[in-house]
Amino acid sequence: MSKAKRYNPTTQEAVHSIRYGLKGLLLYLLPLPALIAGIIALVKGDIIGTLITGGSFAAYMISAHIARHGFKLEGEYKRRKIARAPKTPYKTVAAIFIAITTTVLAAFGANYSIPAAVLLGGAAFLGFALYYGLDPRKDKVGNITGYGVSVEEMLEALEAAEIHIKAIDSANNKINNPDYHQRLNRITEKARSILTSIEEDPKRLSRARKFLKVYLDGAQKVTEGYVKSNSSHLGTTEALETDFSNVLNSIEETFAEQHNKLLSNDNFDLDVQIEVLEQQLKREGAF
Amino acid sequence: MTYTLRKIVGFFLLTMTLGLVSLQSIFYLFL
Repeated sequence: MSKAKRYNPTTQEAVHSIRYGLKGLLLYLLPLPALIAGIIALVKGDIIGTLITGGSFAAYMISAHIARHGFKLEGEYKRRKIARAPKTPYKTVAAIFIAITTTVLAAFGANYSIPAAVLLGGAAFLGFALYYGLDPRKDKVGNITGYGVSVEEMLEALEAAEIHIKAIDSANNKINNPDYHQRLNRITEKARSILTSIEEDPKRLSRARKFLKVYLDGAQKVTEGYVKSNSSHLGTTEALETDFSNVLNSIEETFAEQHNKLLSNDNFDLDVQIEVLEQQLKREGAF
Repeated sequence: MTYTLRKIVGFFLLTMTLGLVSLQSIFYLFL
C-alpha cells in the first residue's frame, strides 16, 4: 500500500475555497432583469431593444467572468507569502467593462440623459472598487531579505516550479485511469505544499532547488510521455503501465519524504535520494 | 473608510446602478 497520506485541506483553505466559490455571484444576479428585458423586446419584435438589453446582459456576464478570474488570481496572491502581482489587472478591466455597459444600457435602454448615464457608469465603477476592491499592484516579497536569496531569484524559481506543476495538472486531466489521476493529484498537491514551505522559509530554496527541478521536470516529462503514448493509435502496453505506476509510486513516496526533510531542516541524504530518483526517471525514459 | 462601511457603500452603489438600470430597461420597453 502507498505510504502517501490523503490530502486534507485545512479549515482555512476550505473556507477560502468556499468564499471564492461564491464571490462575484452578485455580478451575475444583478443584471438578470436585462435578460428579461431582452426576452420581452424579442417577443415584441423590437430589434434595437433586444440588441441593447441582450447585448448589455451578455457584456455583464463577460465582465462577471473576467472579474471572477481576477478574484481567483487575487486569492492566490493573498494565500501566498511571496508572489508577483497579477500581470493583467482583471478586476479593473471587469470594473471598466461594467461601467461602460451600465452607461450604454442607461442611455439607450432606460432613457437616461448622457451625463446621467455617464454618472451611473462612474457610480458602478466606484461600487465595484469599494465592494470588491481593485487588483493588487505590488509584488509581495515577504520576509525574504537577509537570507542570501534575491527576490527576483525566488520569484523565478517559484514561477518555474508552478509552470511544471500546471503542466502536470493539465496532462493529468487527459488521464482516464482514476488511480493514476488521484496519485498525480496528490503529487501536485505535495509539490504545492513544498512551494509554500519555501515561501515560509526562503532559506529552504537553495536546498530544494535541485530537488524541485529534477523532480518536477521529471514528473512532467514522464506524465506527458504517458499521455502521449496513451493517446497514440498504438495505445499503452502492459509494461508501460507497470513502469508508469512504479515511477508514480517512487515520485509520490520520495516527494513526501523530501517534504518532511525540508520541514525538519534536515538536508542529510537529500542529494542521495535525488540521485536515485534521477536514475529511475532516466531508466523510464523521462530524460 | 472602514472595511464594513466600504462594503456597504459598494454594495449600495452596485445594486443602485447595475440592478436599477437593468430593471428600468424592462419598464422602458412598455413606455
